[in-house]
Amino acid sequence: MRNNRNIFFYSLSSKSIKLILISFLLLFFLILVLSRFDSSNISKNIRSISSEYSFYLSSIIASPVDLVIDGYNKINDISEIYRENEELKKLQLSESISFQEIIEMKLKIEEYENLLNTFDKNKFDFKTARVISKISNNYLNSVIITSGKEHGVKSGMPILGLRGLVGFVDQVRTNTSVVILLSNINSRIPVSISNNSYQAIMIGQDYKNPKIVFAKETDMIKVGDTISTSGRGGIFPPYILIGQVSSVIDDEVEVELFEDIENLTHIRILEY
Amino acid sequence: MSNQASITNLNIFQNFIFHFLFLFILSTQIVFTNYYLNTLYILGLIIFIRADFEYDWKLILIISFYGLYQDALLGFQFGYSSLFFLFFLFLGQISNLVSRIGSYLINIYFFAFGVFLLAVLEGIYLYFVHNIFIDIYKLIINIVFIILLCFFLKKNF
Repeated sequence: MRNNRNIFFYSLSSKSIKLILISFLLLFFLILVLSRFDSSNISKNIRSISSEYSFYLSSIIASPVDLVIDGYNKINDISEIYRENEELKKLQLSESISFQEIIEMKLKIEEYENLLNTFDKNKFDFKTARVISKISNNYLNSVIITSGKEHGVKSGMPILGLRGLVGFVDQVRTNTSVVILLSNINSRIPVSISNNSYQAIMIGQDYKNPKIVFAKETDMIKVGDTISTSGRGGIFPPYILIGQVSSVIDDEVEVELFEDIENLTHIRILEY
Repeated sequence: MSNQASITNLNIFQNFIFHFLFLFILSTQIVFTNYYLNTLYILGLIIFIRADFEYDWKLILIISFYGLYQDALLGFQFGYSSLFFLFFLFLGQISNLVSRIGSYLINIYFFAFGVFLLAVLEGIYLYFVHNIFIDIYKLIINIVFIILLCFFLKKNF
C-alpha cells in the first residue's frame, strides 16, 4: 500500500488540486473570521435554519448508538433507584423533621413577603421539557430540549433543573431548542453572592466549576456562600439559586452548582 | 480536474465506508460525549489517513460540506470545522510527500505536530478571548490517545 501511495504522489503533478485545497482553507478561514465579527446575525439565522435539519439527520444516523446508551442508562437508573430507596428508608425520620422546618420557613417567608407587598413579583409560569441530547465538544456545553417555537419558547429564557439554574435558551427551532449550560464558556450570568449580595459575573469553564469574575469584595467571599441570580440586566429574574462557593484561592472563586448538569433528563423553562 | 490515474484510488465500497464512518462518528456527537475522547480529533485522523489515497476536488467540496454540517449541528462558528478537516487533509498530503523518503513514523510526527498546533491555538484563543485556562490533563489524555490510534492505524494499514 505504501508503494502505491508513493506512486500516487509522483503522479500528483496536477497542481490544481493543491491550489483548490489551499483556496478552500483560505476561504473557510475568511468565513470563520467574518462570522466571528458578524453583527447582523446572518450566521445565527442561517444556523438556526440549518441546525434543525442537521439535527434530524444526525438523530437518524446516530439512533443505534442512542438506543444502546439509552438501554445502559436505564439499567443504571434502576440500580440507582434501588440504592436511593434503601437510603431513604433509613433517613425517613430525619427527612420528615427537615420537611417540617422547610414548611415553617416557607410560611414565614410568605408572611414577610405579604408584609412587604412583594409577594407576586417573582412568580413565573414554567414549562417542562425533556432533554434529548447533550453536546459537550470544544467547551460549548449545551443540551437540546423538546420544546421550540411551537411551544412558545424564546431565545434567552432561563432554564431550571430541580435544584437551581442550569442555563438559558440560545437557538429556538420549530420543535426543539438549544440550551447553553452554565458550564459553557459563552455563559455569562450576573450573580449575587452570600446574604450581603456581592455583585459579580459567573462564567463557564467547561469541565471545571464555573468561576466568579468582576467581584469587588473577593476578600469577603467565603467557601459555602450561596450564589443566586442578581436580576441585573433583566436577563434573569433575581433570587434563582445557582450553587455555592466551592473554593477561594487568591482572587479565583469557583462555584459548585446545585444542579448536576451533566446528567439532566428534564428541565423547566421559565417564562420570563 | 481530477488527479491522474492511480492504483491507490479507493473503490466505490471503500469510499462508501469512508463517508459512512465519517458521518456516523460526526452524528454520534449529539448522543455520545466522553471526557477522554475528542471526537473532532478522530474525524481529523480519518481525513489524515484518507489523504493517503487519491482524491479530487469533489472530496474537498464534500469535506467542506461535512464541516458546515458539523458547525450547524454543534453550534460552532461557521467555517471552524471545515477549516479543521481541510487542515488535516492538507497535513496528510504534505506528510505523504515527505515520507516518501522515510518511514510511516514521519506521518505520525506530522499528525502529532498538527494536533499540538491546534491544541495550542485553541488554548491561546480560550485564554485571550474567554479568559479560561485549558484543562491540560484532559488535553494530554486526548492527544496521547489520538496519536496512539494514529500509530496503530498507520502501522497496520
